[in-house]
Amino acid sequence: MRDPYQVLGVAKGADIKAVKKAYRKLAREFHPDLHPGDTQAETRFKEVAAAYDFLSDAEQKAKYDRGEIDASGTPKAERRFYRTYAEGDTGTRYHDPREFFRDFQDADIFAEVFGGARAARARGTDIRATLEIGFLDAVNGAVKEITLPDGKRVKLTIPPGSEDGQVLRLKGQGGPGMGDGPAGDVNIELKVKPHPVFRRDGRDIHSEVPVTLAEAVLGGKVDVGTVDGTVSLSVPKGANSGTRLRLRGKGVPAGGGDRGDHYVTLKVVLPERPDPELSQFVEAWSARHPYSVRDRQ
Amino acid sequence: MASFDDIVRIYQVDRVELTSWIEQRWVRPVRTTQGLVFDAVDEARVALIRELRQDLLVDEDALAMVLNLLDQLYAARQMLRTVEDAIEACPESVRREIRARLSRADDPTRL
Repeated sequence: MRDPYQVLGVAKGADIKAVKKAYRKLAREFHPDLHPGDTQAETRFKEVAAAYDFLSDAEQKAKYDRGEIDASGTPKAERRFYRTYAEGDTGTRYHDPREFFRDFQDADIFAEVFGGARAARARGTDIRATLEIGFLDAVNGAVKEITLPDGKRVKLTIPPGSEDGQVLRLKGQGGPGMGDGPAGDVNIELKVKPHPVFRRDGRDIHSEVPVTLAEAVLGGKVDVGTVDGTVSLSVPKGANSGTRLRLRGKGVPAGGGDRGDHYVTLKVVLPERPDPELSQFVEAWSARHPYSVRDRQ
Repeated sequence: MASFDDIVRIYQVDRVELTSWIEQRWVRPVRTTQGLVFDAVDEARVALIRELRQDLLVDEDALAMVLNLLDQLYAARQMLRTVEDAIEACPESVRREIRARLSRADDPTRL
């Protein structure tokens, strides 16, 4: 046997209190009955227990500390841990599966294992999956061909106005039923990808549209993308950055034909390069028409 | 096979304590006309409880919970072995199918 102090990870000659403390810590960590699947645990626990056994005999410990004896002792009878019985037939004395797996017995395969005498009939399992779809497919609806986990290809209809996180059910496409039990369902959760231009808020769509200085000052028609194509939007004279215009009924379709709206927020964009003519004009103009924009800030 | 007195002697447990373990059904020896008889599984159970109480300092109340959880763990493992045995006994095609389903179960959410 190895040096028992070393096995317990304490200093040589440590007092019985420290030995006991170290043993408790290791025993909790390695007790084989608390770790039924760990084959290393038993070896480690036995070594730790033997070291503790050896040192907990005060007389023996004193002799060993003085170097009068070594750590070899007579080996004890092979110990059989509870775990070696627990999973055998005798284990059921302490854990009746009928008690612990009552909920499993709804599936008839387990009902049979546990001696249940119910008819072999059960609904098939439900299958859960996620499907990533484009923003516009969610808004306008689409039909997607998808492959189910069992390899079956089916057409999935995504209704207009679908939302992120919405679950679509394919009834009877899940696991097969037992006996004359019905098949389970496939539940598909939609993950809607964001759109580079459109943002959705409930039934409404929001987007930002850049306009030139001329369009903002003088007003005019600009082409604006919506979820169902380009439309012509009238920009009023003197429109500003942040001006919000409504395109009625261009939002997300809802059941019953009650669509949301599309809100366009204008963003005035100056020419890319500073223009001397424009600068001269604005200089002269602003001298004659001063106005303040930060008063309320 | 051991008697009540054997158990008290071998495992150095208190008579009152052992009696209370039996009353709480933590240990379930068989009652015979010659008194209680402890099988190997009961002995191992006594050894475990003694260690939990005395060495690992699990108190009475927590012990009931620890034992209940352990019993559920062992029941689950036993169940899993039953299922494993049943699968092993299936034809290769069925086992392949089950393997495929189980490995898909690792990531059940993607199509």
